[in-house]
Amino acid sequence: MDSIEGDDNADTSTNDYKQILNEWFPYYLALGMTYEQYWHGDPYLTVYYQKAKKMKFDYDNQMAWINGLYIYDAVSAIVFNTWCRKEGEQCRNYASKPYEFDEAKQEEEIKKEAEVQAEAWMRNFVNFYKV
Amino acid sequence: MKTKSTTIKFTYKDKKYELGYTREIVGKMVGEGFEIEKASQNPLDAIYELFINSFEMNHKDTDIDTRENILKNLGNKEHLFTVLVEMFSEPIEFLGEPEKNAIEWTV
Repeated sequence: MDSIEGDDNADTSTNDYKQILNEWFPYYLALGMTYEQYWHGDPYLTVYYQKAKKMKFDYDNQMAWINGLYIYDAVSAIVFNTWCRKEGEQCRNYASKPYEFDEAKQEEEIKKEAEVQAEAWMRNFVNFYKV
Repeated sequence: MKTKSTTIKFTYKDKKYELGYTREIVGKMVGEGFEIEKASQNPLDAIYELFINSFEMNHKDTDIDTRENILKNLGNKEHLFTVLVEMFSEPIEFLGEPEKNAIEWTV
């Protein structure tokens, strides 16, 4: 593996150029770039790595936020059940399934639930008059 | 929008060429004493150095005589010089965070 480490006798501006290349190298290694990609690949690849880094940060940030939401709900349920619940009042349960963040899916689920409720109501209504 | 680095493409004696720079080539040229800052002071020497070395990315096996011959026969040298300088700067330019709120401009 050849190195681009500088000669000490080169002048300041030349060294600056080489220094910049060498200084950024570990940064891009940390982002997942290989030696081959950084030194021998298309120089524009680094721009994609910067964009990917930003996307990953946004994704991680969103995951952390969702995590916080679940923890908040779990703690709230415990606090409510332990200190705030009045006698005879139902226990608050932790969410039985993961939250739905897809709005279309969420609407579909609400619609489905309403249909099930309507069907049950109709069945009760028919049974009531059967007797 | 840019999707890759700038390259120079042409066909010479039925062979297709695509010239460009990698960070390794830029590092080596700089290490050997090439200074882009002084390119405009001596454009003839600079264009020679820049052009000859731009073969290193995709056409290492092309001999020096062929490289020189191609350079001699290429037209629009002024634009060639500008593009070579731009190509040489890109490996450094693409390292930092993209400039926010920078005004886009075209030629």
